[in-house]
Amino acid sequence: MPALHLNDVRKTYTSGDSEIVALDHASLTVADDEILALVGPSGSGKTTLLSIAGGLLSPTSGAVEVGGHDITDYTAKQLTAFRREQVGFVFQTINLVPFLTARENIMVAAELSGRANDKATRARADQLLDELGLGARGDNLPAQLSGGERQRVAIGRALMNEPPLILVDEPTSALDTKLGNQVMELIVNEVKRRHTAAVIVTHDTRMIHYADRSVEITDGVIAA
Amino acid sequence: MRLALRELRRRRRAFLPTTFALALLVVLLLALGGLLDGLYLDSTGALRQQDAPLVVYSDSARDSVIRSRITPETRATVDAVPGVARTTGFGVALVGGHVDGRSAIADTAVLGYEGGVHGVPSPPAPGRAWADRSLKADGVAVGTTVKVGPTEIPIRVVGWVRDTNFLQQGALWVEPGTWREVLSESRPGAAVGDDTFQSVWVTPRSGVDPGTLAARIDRATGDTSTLTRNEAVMAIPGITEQRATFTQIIGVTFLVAALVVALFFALLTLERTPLFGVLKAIGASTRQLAATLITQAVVVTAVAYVIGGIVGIALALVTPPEVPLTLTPGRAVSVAVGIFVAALLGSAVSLRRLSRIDPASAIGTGT
Repeated sequence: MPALHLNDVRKTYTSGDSEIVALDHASLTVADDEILALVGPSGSGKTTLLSIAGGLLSPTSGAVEVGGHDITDYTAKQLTAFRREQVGFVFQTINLVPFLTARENIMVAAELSGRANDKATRARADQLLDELGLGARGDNLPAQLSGGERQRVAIGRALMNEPPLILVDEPTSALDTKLGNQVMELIVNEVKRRHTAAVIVTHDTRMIHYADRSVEITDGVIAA
Repeated sequence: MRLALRELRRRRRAFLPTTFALALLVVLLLALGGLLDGLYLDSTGALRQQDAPLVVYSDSARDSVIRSRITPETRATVDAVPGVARTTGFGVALVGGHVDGRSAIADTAVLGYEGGVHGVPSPPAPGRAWADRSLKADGVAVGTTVKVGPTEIPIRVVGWVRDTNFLQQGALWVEPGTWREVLSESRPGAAVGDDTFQSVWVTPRSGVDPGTLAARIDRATGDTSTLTRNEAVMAIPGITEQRATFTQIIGVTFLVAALVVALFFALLTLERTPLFGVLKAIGASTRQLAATLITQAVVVTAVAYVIGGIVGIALALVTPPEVPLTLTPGRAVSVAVGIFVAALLGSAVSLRRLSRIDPASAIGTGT
């Protein structure tokens, strides 16, 4: 079963009398342990595709399946539950909750599911912290962590609920080449170790060799 | 819920200004309410403590006990009305009182009664009185003699009663003869004859509706105005105006509290919009985030209420006795309910904004 399957997906916006096409008849399949790099210039539609795959946006037409769930016609409430359980996000600007410790940030998705008190949840958070090299930093607030450590916490948060699909938005956009490579290595290693699928959106072609496959998108159209 | 409490604990400083502002408003509400209650209780005790539910005034008195006169003939007519179980005469003389060893004159209300007053024993012997405890501040003690009126009629205090004052004047409960003497000496033009009272309180027979009986009494006498106890209390000069004024000020203060909370949480929600976007993106529902906001509003208000309550009680303790500030459990509860409702309404203003935060904003494709 593929981790992600987009079938003839369109996303359009109206601006006055004109229609803006953000994604044009996009079809894409990501295998359940595949890492896909989605490459394209700014405004090409790659973030729109990522948002549709993650249930943040609904397509204007076409079908979206994630981990075997057809989310095309999900209601806002169903999409909220879907995002909580079926996908993990790593945002461009990391976006940790500033008043939660590293451990609590990793557990926040579980907390939203009402599982914060589970011993298993806490054990999993501690295990993730260890695996991400943050074993001693679990009780630190984001402000007490370095940029790299914060990035690792964000990755831990995305992996916490063991989703079938991880969606990563421009992880290296604000980093120099050396740091960018480190972050990509970390993401790829963690995703591969868990045999999970990932879609990594980037405009930086130097990073695409980390992925199993790369797909280019231009003006909302995925290259054949 | 956990998220809300953790933020409160770890970003305490962000919530301090609002907590402080709300605590000040609680102090203000308790002080205003305490003054209203103090003024009301201290003006109305003599009527509120009457056991009987109805009072009969002469028609021309326009519902004032001081202007009213009930002659023995009128009282006999009232007694004869079907449904009347008992009547007790009552009268007031507002006079200055002088306590030995004190240069200041105490304002007293010499109240003549025949019994039937809650918390006040049967009428004492002539020249004796049950005194309201508030007169302690004027140097009155059990066994002391208060010399009242221009001719300094001596009245000896034989015991204490509480919450029985009239028009802010310390009550001295005396038998009817002593009251008539004080009234005729202090206001000769208002003197009343033997067996005449200013009003009579009426106890209906069991099962008789007081409203129906009041109408029946006024029809029978032709020249009386019979009021319920509450109507008589509200007819005391100034009471309605006091209550209306204070109620308006208190209402405006609750409105200010709601605005403080609304403004604070609107700003906080605005500041946290990116964070809420991220939380929605990773699966937080609007309901969960709304619960966070409301929990924080409730906790901030609870802390403010406790702080304001402690300051309010301290204020009441150091307030001089001449200031009629009375903190009652009822007032504390009404301020608590009011401030929590204001906080909830205030925080609700931000719920609409919260519901409109687009989770896609976390990833830069929000609409």
